[in-house]
Amino acid sequence: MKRAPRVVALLGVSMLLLVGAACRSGVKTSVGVDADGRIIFLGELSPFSGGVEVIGEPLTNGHRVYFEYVNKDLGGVGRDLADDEKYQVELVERDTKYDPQVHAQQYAAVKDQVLLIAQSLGTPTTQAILPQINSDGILTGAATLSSQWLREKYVVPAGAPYPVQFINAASYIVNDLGKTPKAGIIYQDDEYGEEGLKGLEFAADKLGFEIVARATYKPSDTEFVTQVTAMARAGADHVFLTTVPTQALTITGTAAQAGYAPQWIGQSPTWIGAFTAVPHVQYLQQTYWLVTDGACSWGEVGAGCEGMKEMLDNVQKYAPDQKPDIYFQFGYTQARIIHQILEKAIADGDLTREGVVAAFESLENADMGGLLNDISYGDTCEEKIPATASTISAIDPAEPAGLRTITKVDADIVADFPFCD
Amino acid sequence: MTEFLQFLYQGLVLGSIYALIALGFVIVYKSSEVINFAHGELVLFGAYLVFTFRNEMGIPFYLALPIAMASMGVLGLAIERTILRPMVGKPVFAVVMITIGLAIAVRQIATSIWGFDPRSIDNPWGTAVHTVGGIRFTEVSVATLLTAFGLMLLFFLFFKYTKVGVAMRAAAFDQEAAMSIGVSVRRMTGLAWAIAGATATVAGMFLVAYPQFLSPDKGFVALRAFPAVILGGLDSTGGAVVGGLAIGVIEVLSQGYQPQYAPWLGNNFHVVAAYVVMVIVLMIRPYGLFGTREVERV
Amino acid sequence: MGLHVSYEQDLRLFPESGGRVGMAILVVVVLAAPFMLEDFPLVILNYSAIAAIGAIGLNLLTGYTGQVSLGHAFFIGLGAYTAGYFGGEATSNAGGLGLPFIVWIPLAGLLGALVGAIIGPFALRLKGLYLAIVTLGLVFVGEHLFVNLDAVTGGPRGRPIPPPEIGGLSFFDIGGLSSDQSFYYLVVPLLALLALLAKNLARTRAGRAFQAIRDREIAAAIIGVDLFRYKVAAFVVSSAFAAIAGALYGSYVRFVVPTNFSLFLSIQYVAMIIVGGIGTIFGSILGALFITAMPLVIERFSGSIPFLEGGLLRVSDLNNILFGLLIVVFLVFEPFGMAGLWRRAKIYFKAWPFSY
Repeated sequence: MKRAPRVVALLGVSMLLLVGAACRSGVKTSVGVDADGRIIFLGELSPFSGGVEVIGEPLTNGHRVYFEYVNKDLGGVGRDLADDEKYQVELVERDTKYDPQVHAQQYAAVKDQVLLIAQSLGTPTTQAILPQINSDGILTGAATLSSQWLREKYVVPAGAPYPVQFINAASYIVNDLGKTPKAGIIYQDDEYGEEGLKGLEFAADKLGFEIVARATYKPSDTEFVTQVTAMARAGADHVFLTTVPTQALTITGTAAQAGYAPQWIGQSPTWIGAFTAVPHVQYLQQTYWLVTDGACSWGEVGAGCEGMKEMLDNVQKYAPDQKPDIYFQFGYTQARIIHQILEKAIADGDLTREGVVAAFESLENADMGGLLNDISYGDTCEEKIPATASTISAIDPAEPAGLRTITKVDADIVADFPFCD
Repeated sequence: MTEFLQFLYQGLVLGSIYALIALGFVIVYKSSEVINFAHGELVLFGAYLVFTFRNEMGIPFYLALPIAMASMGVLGLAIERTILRPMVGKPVFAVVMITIGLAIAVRQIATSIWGFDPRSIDNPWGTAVHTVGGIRFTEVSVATLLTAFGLMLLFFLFFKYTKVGVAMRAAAFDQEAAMSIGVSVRRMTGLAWAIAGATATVAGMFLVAYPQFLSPDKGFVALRAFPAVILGGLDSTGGAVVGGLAIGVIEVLSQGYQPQYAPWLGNNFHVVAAYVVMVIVLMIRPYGLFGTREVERV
Repeated sequence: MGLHVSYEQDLRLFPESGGRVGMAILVVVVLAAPFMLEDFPLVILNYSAIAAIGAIGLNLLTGYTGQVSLGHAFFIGLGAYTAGYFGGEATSNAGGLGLPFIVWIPLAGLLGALVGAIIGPFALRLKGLYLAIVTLGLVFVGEHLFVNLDAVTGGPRGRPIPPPEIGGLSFFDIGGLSSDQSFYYLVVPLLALLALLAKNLARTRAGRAFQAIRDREIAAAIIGVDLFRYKVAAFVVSSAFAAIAGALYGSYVRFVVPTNFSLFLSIQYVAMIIVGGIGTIFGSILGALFITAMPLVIERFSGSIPFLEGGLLRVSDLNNILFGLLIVVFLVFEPFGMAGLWRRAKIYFKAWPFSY
C-alpha cells in the first residue's frame, strides 16, 4: 500500500530532524518550521480579490510589514537566541475570495507547510475550517472579531468581539448622551451579522430601549432600497450596521438620496477609505459613527502609544505607499500578538504545533504598546477575552485615516454579556 | 401616494439607463446578429474610463465624457474587427461563448488596472437634490433622464433621416440587398459596434452615479438589462427602449413593495423579477413584444 | 483504417482493433492510479470526474442537439441540494430526511430529470439566442430559490451534504485507503458507467436524431424526427446528468452554499465542452479534466510561474485570463476541441510516414 512506506519515511525523517534540532538549540520543532534554515512558516488566508479585498490587502500588509520588521530589525524571532539561531518568518499567502469553500481549499493546500495560521479572515470563512483546525490542532489567528472564537481552543482572538462594539456604542448613547434611541439594525445574513444583532439585543435589554426594525441581506446583494425603506418606515433614529464596506456605502447613499438621516453606527469592518471620497461624504460626516477597538488611532504617538510610533516608523521604512488604514493597523497588531506567542513558545523550548498552543494559553501581559491593552490569554473562555474597550469615531476627511475620535468607551455591562455560554 | 410616485420616478430613471444599455445591445444584434454578452463589461469599462479621465487626469467633466465615449467607440470597433470577423458563419453558441470569453477578459483587465476599491466619478451634479410636491429629484437623476432620452431621440432621428442611419438599417435588414446598392456593410457593422461602445459609456457613468458607486461588480448589474432586450424583442430598437423602462420600473417597485405585500417571494426578489416577467412574456410571444418572427427557408 | 463496410461496423464502440487494446490499458492505468499518485493530483482527478459527468450531460444537450443552455448550474445545484435534503441529517437551519446513499443518488438524477421535463417544454419553444437568455434566467431564478427556500437549502449559510456510503462501507474510508482514494473508486466507475450510457445514446437512433436537430431543424422535421420529443429528451437527460454530478460534488465537499451555483459555473461547463470537443463524449471528459485542473495547478505552482512571482498578476487574474484565452483560441482555431486534436494526432500517426 502506498501509505505504509510513506509513514515510515516520514517517521524516519522527523526523528532525524528532531535529533538534529535538539542538538542545535534545544528547541523542539515540527511541521512548518525549517530547523536547519531557521525559518518559521506562517499561513495567511485572506481575500485578495473580490469585494472584501479592500480589507484583506491592507490587513495582510500589516502582517507583512510587521514580520519584515521582525526579520530585519530584530534579526528574527527568538529574543534570547544567538543571532545566527534566530528564526526568520516567512508568510505563505493564499487568496480566499471571502468564500468559505475556497477558504477551506486554501487551508487544505497550506496546512502541511505552516506552523500556524497567522491570519484567517472572515467569520463565515473561518467557521468553515473550524472542524479541520480542531482535528489538525493548528493554531489560527482570527482576523474577525466574532465572539465564538473565545470558546475555541485553537483560535487566537485579536480584539474586542463584535457584540462589544455595539454594547459600548449603545451605552455611550444612553448613558453619556442621555438619549433613548429607537434602534434599527441592518445586518448580513450570516454568523458575522448575528454577532451584531446579539450585541444590540443585549444592549437594548439592559439599557432599556427598543429595536423597532431589523433587516437582513445576502452578502452578494448590491441594492438596499428595501432595507433602508424598512428602517425609515419604522421611524428608526439610530441605525446599527453589521455589514462590509461597499454595502455600508450603498446603504448610507440610498438613505441620503431618500432624505433619511438617522445616526448610523457601523461596526469596524464597515469602514473603508472611500468613505471620504464619495459624493455623500458630507452626509456621512454628519451622521456616521464608526466603532473600532479602543486603541491608539493612527498618528497618535503620545505616552502609552509607543507601539503606534513603532508601527509608523515601520510603515515609512517598509511600505511607504501604505495609506492610513484601520485594517492595516489591525493586521499589524495581530501580527504582533502572534509574534509574542512565538517568542513564548521558543522561550519554553517548544516550537511544535502543541507548543505554540501551550504558549498561547499561557501568554500573560504581552505588551502591545498601546495598539491594544496588554494581552493575556488562558485556557478558559473568560480568560481569552482580549479587550473590552471601543473607540467611537466620526468621519473627517481632514484626519489621516479619515477618522476623528469622538470618545473611548468601556462599558460596565460588557462584563455581563454571555460570551461563554 | 407620494411614496409610490417616488418609486415610479426612480424606476423610470433606472429604466432609462437600462434602455440605453438595451439600445446598444440591439444595435449590435441588428447589424451582426450577435448577442454581445460582453456589453455589460463594456458599460463597466466605459465608466472606468470616464473615472480615469475625470478623476485621475483632471480633465473637466464635459470633455472627459465625450473623450471616454470616443475611446470606447474605438474599442467597440476594434472588437468587431478582431474578434467578430473570424466568427462569421460559426454556430450560435460559439459566438455566444466568444463574447462571454471577452466579458471575462474585459472584467479581468478592469480589476487589474483599477482594483476592487469602490470609486465615485466626479460629476457636476453631486448630491444636489430638489423636492417638488413631496418627491425628491436628485440633480443626477434628472440629468440621467434628460441625457438618456436625448440620446434616444438623437438615434431615432439618426436612423430615420440621415443617410448613414438609413444605410445602417438597410444593412441590418438585408445584407445582400444593401451591398448591391452600394452600402458598405462592413463599415455599417463597425459603426454599430462603435455606437454600442459609446452608449455603453454614458449608461455606465450614470449607472454608477450617486447613490451607487463604481466597482467591478457593476458589470453584472448590466446583465439585468438583458430581460429588457428580450422583452422588447432582439431586433427592435423601440422595443429595447420600452423594455428597458419597463424593467427599471418593475425592479424599483418590487424593491419598494414586494417585502410588504408578497414576502413569500423571498428576499431581494427584484433581482429576478425582471427575468420572471421576461419568461412570462416569452411564453406568450416567443420573439418578444416587438420582435420579428423568424422565417426559415428550407 | 477506419473504412467502414457495414452498418454494424459504423456503430461499434471501438471501430479499430487498436481501440480495444488501448481501452484495456487505460482501464488498468485508471484503476491503479490512486496508488501511484499523491493527494493533489488525486483530488484533481476526483473533481474532474464529477465535472465530466456534468459535462457529458451538457454535451448531449448543446453539443449533439445544438440547444444552447446556460442553465446547467441550476441543475447541478438542484442535485446537490437534493442530496443534502434527502440524505442529510436535519441541522439547526435546514431540514434533512437522512435517507441512504443508495436512495439519494438516483433520486437526484430522477429529480433533475423531472424538473427538466417540466421546464423543457416551455424553454424549448424558444430558439437560439432567446433560449440562451431564458436559461440564463433559470440560473438567476435558481440562485434566488436556493437562497430563499432555507428550510431545504439552509439559505445563504448553506447546508451540509452527507458522505456516500453503502451499508456500512463509507466511500471516504475503504479499507486502508485515504478519503480521496476511496472516493475515487466511487466516482470513476460511476463516470465510466454514465459515459457508456451516454455513448450508447449518442451512437444509436436518438443520437442521430439529436444531431439532425442540431444540423438543420426543419430538414430533420421533414424526414420525420419528432423535434419536440427529442429536444425535451435531450434536456431531460442533460438535467439528470447534471443533478447526479451536483449530488456527487456536494457529497465530496460536504458543504454547499448557493453562490456555488452561479452563472460562472454554467460558463465553466460550456467551456469544458468547447475546449474538450463539441459532440463527443470523450471530449467532454478531456475538457472537464482540463478546465478543472488548470486553476488548481496554477494555484499550486504559483511560486514558480514568472508572471506571478513578481506580483505583476494575481493568481486569480492569471486564471481568468487563461480561461478566457483558451475559450477564444479553441473556438477560433480548433472547433472540435481537444478531442479534435486527439483525432488529428491519431490520424497523423496512423498515416506516418505518409502524411497525406
